[in-house]
Amino acid sequence: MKLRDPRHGPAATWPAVVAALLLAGLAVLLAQHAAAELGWTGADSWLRSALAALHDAEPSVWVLIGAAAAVLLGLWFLIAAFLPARRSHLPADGDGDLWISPRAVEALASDAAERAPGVLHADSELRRRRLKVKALLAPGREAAVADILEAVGERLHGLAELEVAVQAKEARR
Amino acid sequence: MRTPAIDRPAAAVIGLALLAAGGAVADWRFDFAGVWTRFDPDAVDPVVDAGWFPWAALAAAVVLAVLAVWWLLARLPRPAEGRVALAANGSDRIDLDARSVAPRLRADLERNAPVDQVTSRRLDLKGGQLIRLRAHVDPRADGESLIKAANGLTQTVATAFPDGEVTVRVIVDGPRRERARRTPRVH
Repeated sequence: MKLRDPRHGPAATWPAVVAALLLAGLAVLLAQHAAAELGWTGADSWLRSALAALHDAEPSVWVLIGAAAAVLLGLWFLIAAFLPARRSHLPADGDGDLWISPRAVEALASDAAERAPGVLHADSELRRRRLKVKALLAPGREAAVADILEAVGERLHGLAELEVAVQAKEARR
Repeated sequence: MRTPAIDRPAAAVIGLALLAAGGAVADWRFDFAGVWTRFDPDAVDPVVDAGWFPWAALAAAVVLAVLAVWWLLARLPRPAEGRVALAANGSDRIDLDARSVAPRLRADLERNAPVDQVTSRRLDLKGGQLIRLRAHVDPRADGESLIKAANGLTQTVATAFPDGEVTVRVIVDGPRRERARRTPRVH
């Protein structure tokens, strides 16, 4: 059995929902025309009113606004249709089918860094394969950077192959 | 939410149609390509006035409405089959109620791994089912314990289902928000 990696929903999901609603709107327009022409309702056909506007020398402001909206929607649909669904979790080592989210990796790294001696506060950010740990060090504890690297490396061992960078700042006395 | 395969090609086609419509109106207003001047609106009127047109519009409306409803409903999650057929010899066949497996795996993961709020979902795969366990990590966890717990679960399931009728996947998300945590963190 071939399993697909966990992924975010494709970018085309919402455009597809909007497109389905547009199709439903078109269906309502056509059904209203049929109902008006076949005498099932006393109202005038909306489609006839729209087609009558085609005889104008220039489009009305509302038609221009609709056209601008159509262009924007069309661009959104086209771009979204070609964007691939991104992988949402990182694969871990081992025989188990374990996947870990970037947020979980950041939380583990921050916790590991905060527990290193001489660290007052730590925060992490994972972008692609680069984990950046920002740490606030107690005064005179510049050597804590090596401890942070070691603690984070140990904590994340086996979870993901990451390039860890520490950005440390010393607190004022 | 499922993703129908039609989403991307249909979004591309409808996107192109919307761009073409917007471009036609722009040409009507600014006349940069001369397409609109060649278009004769009087040619449209006899078609709309024809006796068959309302019926054609009604048929098109029904088709479009069915298509739109199908497209919207196709993304609703479909519940997985309750039973999984185990490999059998000859004419005998054994079906297993897979619904009972997920709660046991959830409890195992919650007990053996530094995670909380484990949820599960069964997904139909070709030739079996995947039980997807999803959990929030405890920030004090380490990679080794998570990997060990996931390996243990995989081995348990592989022992119970050697032919791979049921498989398990563990997905670990970030920690729950601090406010939602039942037990306070103690450093």
